[in-house]
Amino acid sequence: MGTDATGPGGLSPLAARAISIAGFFALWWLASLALGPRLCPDPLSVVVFLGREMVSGELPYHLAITLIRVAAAFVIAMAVGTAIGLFMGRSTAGNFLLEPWIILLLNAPALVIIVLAYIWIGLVDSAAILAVALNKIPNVAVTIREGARAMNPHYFQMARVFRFSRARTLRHVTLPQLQPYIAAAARSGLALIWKIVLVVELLGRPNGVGFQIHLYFQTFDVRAILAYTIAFAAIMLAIEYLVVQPVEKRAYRWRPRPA
Amino acid sequence: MDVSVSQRMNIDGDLLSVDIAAKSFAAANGAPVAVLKDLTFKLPADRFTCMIGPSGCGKTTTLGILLGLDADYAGAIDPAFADARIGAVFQEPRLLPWRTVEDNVRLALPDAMADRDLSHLFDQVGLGDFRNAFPAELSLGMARRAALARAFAIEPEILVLDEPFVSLDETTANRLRDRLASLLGERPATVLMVTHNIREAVRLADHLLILSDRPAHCVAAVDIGLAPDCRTGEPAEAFIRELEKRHPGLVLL
Repeated sequence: MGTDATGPGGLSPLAARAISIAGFFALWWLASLALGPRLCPDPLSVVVFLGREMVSGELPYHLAITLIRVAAAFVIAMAVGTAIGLFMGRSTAGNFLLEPWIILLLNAPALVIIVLAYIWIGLVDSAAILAVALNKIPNVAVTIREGARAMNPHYFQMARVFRFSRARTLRHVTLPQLQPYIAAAARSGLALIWKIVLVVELLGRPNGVGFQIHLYFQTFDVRAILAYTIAFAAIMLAIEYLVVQPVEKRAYRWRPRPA
Repeated sequence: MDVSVSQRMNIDGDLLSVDIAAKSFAAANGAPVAVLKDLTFKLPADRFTCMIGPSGCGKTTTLGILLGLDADYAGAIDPAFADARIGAVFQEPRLLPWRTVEDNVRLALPDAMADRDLSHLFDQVGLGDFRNAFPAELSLGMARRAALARAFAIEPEILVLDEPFVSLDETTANRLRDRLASLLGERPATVLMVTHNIREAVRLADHLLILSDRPAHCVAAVDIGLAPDCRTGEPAEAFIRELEKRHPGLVLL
């Protein structure tokens, strides 16, 4: 029988993850056998290509550029979206004022926002990052608005009686209550943002993973496309396990642990 | 035994006056419901005043107004409530669950006191070993003590307590009452405590305000002139019987 720390069938979390990842590569390998190297190169050849690009510096360069764009768009979208969501959740007038804009942005196709940003601002990085952030801001705002509505007024009354400053209230009363909503917005945000960054790079930047994938698409180099995808997915996985989860664990340390 | 119930106030020193002409809420159907009407009383400075009255008569509403949480009323309250350092203990402890006990207390401190040593205070409320605990790890009695420590940490001039000992077993509640009395012995403050429990009021207070049913006004202001050793047991019971005779239905709830 498994104990609490182990999953189904008595597996440790590490073993379960290893099996899951091994299964992915096995499936890939079978697909490469069925489809042939042109349509689906086998994992080993992709890894070899990855190593070569790594040594030449080509892959790290484009990866770094894309990561910087992802980080910039992410920070802007989270900060602006949280501020808007908080305002909408705390003020009825603010909600009525901004709701049409949010609905408009939520439903505007990413492609339209990207193209318009490039036309109006130019084929520059600021346009690219702004377009990505604009695509994510309404999602963040809507999530945070729900969190702001669920906040407990009792804590704010306590803060007022003890004359907390605005900054102290924000840091110790507001943000901790929003924390689960911020975490949800951040997690879905990172995934969405990196997908849109690739589209933005494909449409109007001379570098980055999106640009490279577009390039290799034109030469029908599936091996290179998979190599770039794998490299980026590995980085996102590392961010999830090494940054997001430890941060969450720390943020939730006050919760009573289940016995 | 001589038990006197005096109907007038004869305490020397300053008085904080409260004069709430009207306070109403909108009911679910939109019609206004009067909660307080001509509620007038005075709090003697550095004395302990207890407010008792029927359930739902507007005691917590009154405290909300005095604490500056509710500006939607007609009337005037002493400007001291806005200027003085006010400590409050709410019905629920209202500790921030994501901060440790010590952080909860420290966050309430004004900047000038930020580096205060709180060891003595934590020892006094018996939480010396729980300063780094999170509120979820505390019992209700301990959480109440932490809330009491927070209110005292700021060295309040006015202390507002909203049924701080409700839903505790009688032994725990009595221990907490003693702690409150000893904290106030070390550092006096103008105290207003709401309670349903006349025995608690007689045990702790110098001065008693009896409120009517909704819309609440002050029916009587009574000095509790009992010596410290007459605050419990038969002398206190005699005092309560006398009070109940004068204000039937409002004292023994």
